Amino acid sequence: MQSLVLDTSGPFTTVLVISDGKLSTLSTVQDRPAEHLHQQIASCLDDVSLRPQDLSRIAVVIGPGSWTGLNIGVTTAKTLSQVLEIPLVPIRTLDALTIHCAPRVWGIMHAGRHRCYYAVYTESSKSEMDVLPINAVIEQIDSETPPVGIIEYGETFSHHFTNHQHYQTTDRLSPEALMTAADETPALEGESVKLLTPAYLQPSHVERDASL
Amino acid sequence: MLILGIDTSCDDTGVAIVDSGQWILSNVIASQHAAHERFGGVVPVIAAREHTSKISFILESALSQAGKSFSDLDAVAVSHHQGLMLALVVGVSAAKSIALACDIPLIGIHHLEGHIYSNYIGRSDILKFPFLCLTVAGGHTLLLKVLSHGNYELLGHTRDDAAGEVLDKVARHLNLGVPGGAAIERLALNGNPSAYGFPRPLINRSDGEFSFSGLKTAVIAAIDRNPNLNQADLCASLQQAIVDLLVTKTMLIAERHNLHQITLAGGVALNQTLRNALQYAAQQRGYDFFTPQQDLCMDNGAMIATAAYYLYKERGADSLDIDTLANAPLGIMNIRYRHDSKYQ
Repeated sequence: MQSLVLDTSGPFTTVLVISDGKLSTLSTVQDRPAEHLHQQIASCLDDVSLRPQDLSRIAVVIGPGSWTGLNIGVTTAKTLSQVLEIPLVPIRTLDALTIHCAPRVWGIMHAGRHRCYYAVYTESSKSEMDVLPINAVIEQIDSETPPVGIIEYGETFSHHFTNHQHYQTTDRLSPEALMTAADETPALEGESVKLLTPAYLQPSHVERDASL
Repeated sequence: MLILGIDTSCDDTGVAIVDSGQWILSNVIASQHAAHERFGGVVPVIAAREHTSKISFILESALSQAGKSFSDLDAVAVSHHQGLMLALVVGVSAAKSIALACDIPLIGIHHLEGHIYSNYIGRSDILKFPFLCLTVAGGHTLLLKVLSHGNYELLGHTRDDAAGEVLDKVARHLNLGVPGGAAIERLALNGNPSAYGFPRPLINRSDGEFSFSGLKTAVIAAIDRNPNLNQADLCASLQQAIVDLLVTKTMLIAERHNLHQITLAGGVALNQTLRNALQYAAQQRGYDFFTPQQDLCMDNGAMIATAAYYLYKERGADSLDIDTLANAPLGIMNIRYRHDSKYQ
């Protein structure tokens, strides 16, 4: 089975090809996905002598993350899935972020305007992702005993966690995490692929201001 | 040659399938008016989200209306230049994915070239180079001499706002909803076009330059001075001022450059008063006047697919890493964006 995995959620654009559970090629560039994502996909497929028709699944990071990056990644994955008639695996950013972390961990990332996306992962379950002001999230994290792990996508909030031993930050989702997430997440087919939109979770700032 | 054309440059998701630049097999346009209505204008981030959520369905319905599948396509075309950046990238991502998955040529089209070619559909044997094209929309007002495929000369343009911008902003000031141009046209039907003597900037200048910002300010100031004024009269007077400006300048340039075929394109070309006025003025001088059918005036995929058919022969295919630009030079003459005048 050949899977293509796309991540355009952050400053790095990552393309992977997985062949029968093993990573066959990887490309990560810090560049504008609007221009280069498709050439990057074509080069990755060339590297392993595959044609697009040989793919059996496409996985894509659906967010949260860069608004435009996600629009590009999700549109690309949806269209490839539609043309090639193959299933699409929607990976949530925080799922991939926390995948190889210690059992109880908070995955967090910047949601703009001092707000924070977060989800709590334990060995057996994960909480639904939500958005709160960063101070409210820190309050909840501090009330946990024993202390929990925190992993942030980006480093916007690092200055809030200087006293936390178990805080770590990353600027990209690792290939291993993307592979595991692509493997563990149920795939979508048919109409549900066409209905897929990025997991922005919160409305745009324009809509938020309008509703205040 | 079967080309699928995509346009997501602003708030319409347009996908069409056109055979050899002549026969439209399908032309599907999904407007986002409802999503933007409460903001009084197009919000780029929302436009991008709407394109992303609808694009698969629009592609599917364009193919099924044409009775075709992806494997029947010979090329895919997309407007990648000129428009809202956030919105353009969605159509470009979809087009590149189709080109990659179907292994067919990708053809990038300047959005304004699409509008020029909207007049070419089904008229390739009547319309002869060079001809004059007046493009009037929410973001553009310009007069181009179309010399040959992909080769244009700029003969006139707006110094500031586009004509459609004036209609949109006045409509918003009157709370008429979107699209503003259509609402103003409806009200104007029952109004007196001479009720208000709005300014007609630069109308006596003997060149192709337009200016609409002063007109916009004058109309909005008139509304603010007297909120109870007759809206129908105001809309009719505004519409007349815009029509006078566009007709006068277009005829001036057509005469000066000896261009006997005049085409009108862009969203404002939907305005029946403007169509009639240009038709009449052209007839008086013995010129031919052409304008596209209604669904080809607004942003659509058919004009992109048609432009691609002719321009592919001239320029060939593009690579998968073509860029996406909000403002881009147009055509072989490199008509270019400049900070002090929009096109030159």
